Amino acid sequence: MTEAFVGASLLPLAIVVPLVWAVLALVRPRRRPTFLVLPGLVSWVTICAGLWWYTSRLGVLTHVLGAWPEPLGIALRADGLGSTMALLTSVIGSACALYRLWTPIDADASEAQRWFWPLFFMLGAALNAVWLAADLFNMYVGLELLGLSAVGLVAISGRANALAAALRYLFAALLGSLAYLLGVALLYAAYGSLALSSLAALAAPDTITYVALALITAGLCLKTALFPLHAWLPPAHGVSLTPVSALLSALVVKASFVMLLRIMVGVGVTIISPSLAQGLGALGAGAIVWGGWQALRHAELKMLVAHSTVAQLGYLFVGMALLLSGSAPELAWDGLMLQLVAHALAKSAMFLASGTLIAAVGSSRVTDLSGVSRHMPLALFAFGLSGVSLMGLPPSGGFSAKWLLLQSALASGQWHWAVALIGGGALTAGYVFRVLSASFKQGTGDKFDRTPLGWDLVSLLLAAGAIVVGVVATGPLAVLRIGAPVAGVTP
Amino acid sequence: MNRARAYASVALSVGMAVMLGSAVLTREFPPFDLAVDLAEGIPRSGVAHPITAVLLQFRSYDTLLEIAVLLVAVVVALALRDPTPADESSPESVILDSVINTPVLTSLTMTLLPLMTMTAVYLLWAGAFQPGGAFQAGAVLAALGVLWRVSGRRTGPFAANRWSHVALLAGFAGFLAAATTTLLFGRPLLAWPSSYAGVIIVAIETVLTVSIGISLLGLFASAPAPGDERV
Amino acid sequence: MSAELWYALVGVVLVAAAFGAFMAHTHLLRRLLAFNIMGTGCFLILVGLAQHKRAPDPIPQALVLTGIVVAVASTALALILFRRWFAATGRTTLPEEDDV
Repeated sequence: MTEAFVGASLLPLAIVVPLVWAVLALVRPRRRPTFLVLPGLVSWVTICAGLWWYTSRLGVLTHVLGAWPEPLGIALRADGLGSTMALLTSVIGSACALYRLWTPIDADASEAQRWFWPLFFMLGAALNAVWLAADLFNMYVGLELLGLSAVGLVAISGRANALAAALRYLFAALLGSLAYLLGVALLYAAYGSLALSSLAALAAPDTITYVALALITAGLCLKTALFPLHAWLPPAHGVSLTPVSALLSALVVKASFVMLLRIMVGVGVTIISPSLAQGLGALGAGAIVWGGWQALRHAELKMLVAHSTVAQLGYLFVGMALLLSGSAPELAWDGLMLQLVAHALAKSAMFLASGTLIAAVGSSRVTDLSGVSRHMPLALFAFGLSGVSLMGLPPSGGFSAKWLLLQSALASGQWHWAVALIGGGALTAGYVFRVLSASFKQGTGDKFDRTPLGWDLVSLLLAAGAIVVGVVATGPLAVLRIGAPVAGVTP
Repeated sequence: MNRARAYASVALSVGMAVMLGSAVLTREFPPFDLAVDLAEGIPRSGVAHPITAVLLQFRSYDTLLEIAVLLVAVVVALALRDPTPADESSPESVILDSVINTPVLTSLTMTLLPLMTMTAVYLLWAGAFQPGGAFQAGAVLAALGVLWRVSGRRTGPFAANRWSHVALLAGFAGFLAAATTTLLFGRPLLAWPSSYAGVIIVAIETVLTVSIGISLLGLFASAPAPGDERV
Repeated sequence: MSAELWYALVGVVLVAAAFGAFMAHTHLLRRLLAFNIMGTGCFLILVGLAQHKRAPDPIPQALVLTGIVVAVASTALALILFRRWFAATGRTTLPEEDDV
């Protein structure tokens, strides 16, 4: 059994193992199946860590499903980006799962929440399926599985406005997937293949390819909540259970972005004009401003964090613009990758910490947080630490990401992005300090519910991860460059 | 609906038509022709019909994920059906006021029961060499189930007993188990050995038929009817 | 014009018309129906255009079968959510974002 064989076998396991646990969780759905979930989490993290390890040592790994080679069959592909996101998914997923396991069983919670675990594992499997996909239609089915699992997780939270948020999310998700499928239909008719690698080699700048790319871009931008198509995101992320919000903001919205990135860089890079990339970047800058502004104004804590997600997603599109139309794509790629990783860790930490604060205070309003600094120092520290990364202060992952993007912007002479990047940092500082200053105010009452210590540990660990990934960035960045489909980027 | 919205929608519609129409009409001959590879692969695939071969051999991974999608939809449907603690009155007895209790429908359902079951079995079996297969057969079974419930035969709350729960999971679980077994034998995932491929595919399709039928029936049975106050 | 190209063009008309309807209506059931018609149009384009001027190709046909299953699951989920929403609030449209 060669190393390559073992490495390639881990690829399907990364998807099959969460699916198996989803089935096991469905046999008897319960609120807190600790003995079932823990082995699932351990095996999931181990497999993804192994996959990441083998990718870093052996390069791009491929697994040909059914032993039918592409383009007739489907292959799974683990490059640096895919295996890193799979590892990140397992780590953040496990953190959110532990948070959920440690949630005290609430007598007022709806019975629907006992179906959390099957949907959770299906979500994990779907995420891995998207990170490791190399076939356009396969990505579509994985994206649909992801969307339906996510909508389900939003809907079971039992709150009054959960149904409306889930409905809005579902309609946006369906419209986005349909636009994507339409683009894939046109691409198959034009090229006769669904494998991304063969399409990348054959792409020609004719009408049908332009239309297909336009549809795919529109659909995936809707699913990634790019401004101005973002209206579905804040309600969905703000109203869900805390671990669900963390997963949605940290990972689920990134899936459609990574798909878009792969397709743009693979198929579109020789075809699309720089002005389209700049247009997407402009919308990203709009997201940074709009999301930040809304976060400054919103009264509820979770909605503030959700609007922060809208803003931070804008950075991804600025990075994509620099990647596709700038003269320093290597820096842009590094910055983009680091932003994906750092934001996932920081945002999940921020949501988990916010959930802890809300549970302690008993209210979800920012102004009701007064006095919490003396009683919940750990949760507040986790919130602040994740805020450091989101603001882009050194020495965090967010800082390194934005610094790389800034360098890429200046090297390309595209000063306008520098303004957006720095302005975004200022806005982020605004709403983070808004929460912190509300917490440090003198409280009127001292009625704080006790929250599990495990909650604080988990959010602290994730926030610390966001900081550490900025300090020791060179190792992960080298792995993230493996198999990068950008000219001039060497692993 | 106000005027501005109507005009904007028409404009979007026309724009979409122009964009898609120009794409469709200007498509040139594609460079790849997978039908050739496919024709070469069919003898090794264990099924005679090319579409079944694509669904359960060449692109079986898509089918696996698609069944997972259907399962997720059913799970969410079941989850939303669970009562909130506020109303512990009757456990899941969803009252279908769309019950049509007429002698015509009742006797028709009894007549159709064996006929539709036979049709489903035929569709499943025929999928090996002509259009048919698990999903079509499952849809017929689900339709039978819908008729059964609408005609007033109260079968009780959906998926309450152990057997229907097992049947719901059996399709996806069986497919996943077969896929995992190929990994244990050192082959790529979902790579059926050529000598057994035909048998494996028929077995998977059979369990899938039952599961798909129960899943689709469950999706129907989980939507609350108007007049159902227990929400 | 071959039959397949005709299917694809009919699919184009369906997608365009249904897209306009999706944008125009706010009633959730109408939007869902529009989405379904768009899906059907998309499948017609997939099957028609891929086989236009080519031998019959089972791959797009199989893709459409998968797509139909996914569409059925999504539509059913949307219907269940909508029925719950209607039963809970008596409304057939979503609230504005500020109400959430």
